[in-house]
Amino acid sequence: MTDPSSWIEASDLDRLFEGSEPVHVPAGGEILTPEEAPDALYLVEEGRIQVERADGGERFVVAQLGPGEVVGEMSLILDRPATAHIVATDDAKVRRLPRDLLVSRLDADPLLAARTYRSLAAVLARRLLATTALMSEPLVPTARGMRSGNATTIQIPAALVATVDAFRRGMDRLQEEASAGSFDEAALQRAVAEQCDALLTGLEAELTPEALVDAGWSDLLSLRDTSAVAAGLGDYVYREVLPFLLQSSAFAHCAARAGGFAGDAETEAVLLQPDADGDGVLGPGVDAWFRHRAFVQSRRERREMIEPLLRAVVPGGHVFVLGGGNGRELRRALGQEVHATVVDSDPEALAALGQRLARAGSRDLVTLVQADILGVVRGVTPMSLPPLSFAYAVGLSDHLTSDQMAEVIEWAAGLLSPGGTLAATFTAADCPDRVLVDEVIGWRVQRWTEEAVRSVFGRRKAEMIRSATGVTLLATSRG
Amino acid sequence: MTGTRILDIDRRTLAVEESSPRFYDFTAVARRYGARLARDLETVSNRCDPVADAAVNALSRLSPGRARRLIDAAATGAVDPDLEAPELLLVLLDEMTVVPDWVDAARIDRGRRAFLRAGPGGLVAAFFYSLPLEYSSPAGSKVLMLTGSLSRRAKRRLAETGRYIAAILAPGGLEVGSPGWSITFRVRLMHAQVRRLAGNSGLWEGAWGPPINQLFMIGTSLGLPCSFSEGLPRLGWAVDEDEAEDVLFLWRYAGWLMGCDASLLPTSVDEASRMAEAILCAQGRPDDDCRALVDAMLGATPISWLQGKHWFRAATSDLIRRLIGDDLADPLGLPENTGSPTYRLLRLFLAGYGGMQHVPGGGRLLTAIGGRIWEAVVRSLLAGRKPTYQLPQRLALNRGAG
Repeated sequence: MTDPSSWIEASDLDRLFEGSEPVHVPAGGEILTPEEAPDALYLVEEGRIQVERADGGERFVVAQLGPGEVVGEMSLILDRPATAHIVATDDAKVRRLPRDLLVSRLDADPLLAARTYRSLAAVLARRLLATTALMSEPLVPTARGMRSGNATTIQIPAALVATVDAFRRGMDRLQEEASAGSFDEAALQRAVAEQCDALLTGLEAELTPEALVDAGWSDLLSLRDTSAVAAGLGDYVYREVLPFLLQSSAFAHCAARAGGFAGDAETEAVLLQPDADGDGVLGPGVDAWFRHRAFVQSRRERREMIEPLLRAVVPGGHVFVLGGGNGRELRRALGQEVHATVVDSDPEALAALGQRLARAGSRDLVTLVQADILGVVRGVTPMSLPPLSFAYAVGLSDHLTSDQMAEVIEWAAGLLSPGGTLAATFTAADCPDRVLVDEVIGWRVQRWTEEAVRSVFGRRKAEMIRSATGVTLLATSRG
Repeated sequence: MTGTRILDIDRRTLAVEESSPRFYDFTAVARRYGARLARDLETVSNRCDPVADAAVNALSRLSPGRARRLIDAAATGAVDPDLEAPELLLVLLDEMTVVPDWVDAARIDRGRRAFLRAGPGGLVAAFFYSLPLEYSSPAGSKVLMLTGSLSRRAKRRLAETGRYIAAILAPGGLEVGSPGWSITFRVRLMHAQVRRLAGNSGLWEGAWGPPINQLFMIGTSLGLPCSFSEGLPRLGWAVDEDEAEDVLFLWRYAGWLMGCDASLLPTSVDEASRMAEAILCAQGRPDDDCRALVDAMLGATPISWLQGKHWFRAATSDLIRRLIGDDLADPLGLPENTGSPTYRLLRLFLAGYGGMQHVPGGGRLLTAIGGRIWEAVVRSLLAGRKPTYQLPQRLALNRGAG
């Protein structure tokens, strides 16, 4: 599928499609299906069509096309069946150029053939370059490095060693007392939370800039800088208290995620579950403590911050979601006559969202697009969107650099209808639980000052509100 | 007050006006010592030690254990190729193992023996003259005061400084692979690491200039030769001009090994005095951090039973004031008129002690005694611990056990 103006002159296109057959495709009608032998090239004249891929019982959009664009050229060149469904999303008019006619026309006019193939080659080369560039794009790392070699034994402050020892003794004592029936559930949870809080406070005290320089100084020839020492102190705490923390089902899930990716939909779903759960006597208490941490709460909170904006979209409006993830807010706040397009690179997240939307009865209102958002922004994945009433990104900024985020904001703002709203959540630079997130769990989340957030909005005026937990900054801008 | 003066710095020069830059004042240097020297000093105040910095950056990418093994190997003066040391460490090693043409081993040996002959006088001058001068730099003191706890490590710092001086004063102390050379190599890496720590801490302010910059390094390297040529005479020790030149030569090579820019290291005692004056003038008036460091130094005694003894503190304060002069002692917060007789007694003692030089074999005897004195004081300061530029494994094990 290609915008022909990028690969062939208009006059050549007219000559190519001379005598082609006009076809009316009703909304939902399929122009091409997988396994179907390629027999024609199609030029969209009216309406919108999209390329869909089936995965796990769900169909995801991988590209959207509008008038003037051509589909079927890849199958035709490779002479192999299509790999995706080409579907009209509304009543569409296309021109069908049979393969035999195309081939005979190109055979009869070698100059036209040369221009056509050269242009097509240029289009494919550009697409390959853009895809390659996207693959090598530097992203904010999602995982911390190795959990060894970051700090030497001598750099671990005696006070932290004492804190960890006290935590272990305290938890052992609680386990004994709880097993003996000395606690009711609420009292046990409070006691466990006190132990966990003290542990975190002790670690935080050793991670101030002054304390880190001091620790670094205590063993200069280990050549660790302050960030390495901070990671090393986190490693130490992680290693020493892991058996206790792993009793929490939520923490265990986080620890099991390869690289500890904070933004995946499954992790978010686990963290959003309301009930504390865990192994053994202390597990539910540790789990409750973990779930009540500000950073974990912010997973729910930042989606709830979007809901009022989503409810404000008038019927007939179109919403664009940059990075769908769990999509909780869509299920809760998408209006009955409001359509949404969700872009996410994770097919599992999209499948889960599709199923949840189906259960909520709003699946038909939402188009799920599997694509990298940067690829969409840069045209690697073609999309044809109507003017947008509301575009938003939840958590996208956690893993994009400021330049990338600015590029996304600029692109999305250009799609807004007059009066439309653009919103994005950001994790605040001074958010609580930084130590727990960075050094114990080991997530790497990009953090933003208000100034940095304003800078990605460029000359657009952005209003900023901070969430109750202090973790999330919500920036909104009107089109 | 008709106080003594250190070098030729007077109160007017030290009293930097409020509107002047607080940490560096090259305008004052230009006014007093000429525009060229002021420009040179300003330039080096923005330079550090790129060779050591690059080596440390390369080593920091390795695990601490591997980095330490490589440092231990390199500290012997050669690294087995099988260890596959980072190229940038080998560049540093090459720089430190190839002895420059200007180095004269005989002069270095004469210099170290002259220093040792001064025995207790040399020791007192080294600690109570050169260290307060080093601590009088407001920008330089920030490195040591960065965490607020480093002033509490004064005793360890004194011990490490003493160990460094004693190792260099040992026979062949600057030869490649010798203990003095090895310590110099480690300390040079440690300085580079301090620059990384301070620079990346978020606590370092631009007005302080780069941490441990060339201005600070050259100033520090001049402390010991000036303690000999300027400090010892104040204690009544007659310093021969040739001896002073030899001592300067010794510390010039030590400074070069430490990463000082050779083009700015003085080649004569007169030049060294002028350079030291100019650096003092450039670094501005001592501030609270400087005073805190000197105070911590006064509280660090080589013998534990001296700890907290008022008379000992009064004696050392008085000695420092006599050595560095009132014009620097005042802003460093050193008390006046402590009434301590130590200075007069020391002068009296050194007069007799120095007389031994003039009897046959006395010079060799004083050299040997000087070596023993340095060893004894360092041993006392270390109190059984190894200085941290050695492997800290034992300390680590202690902590683990505790």
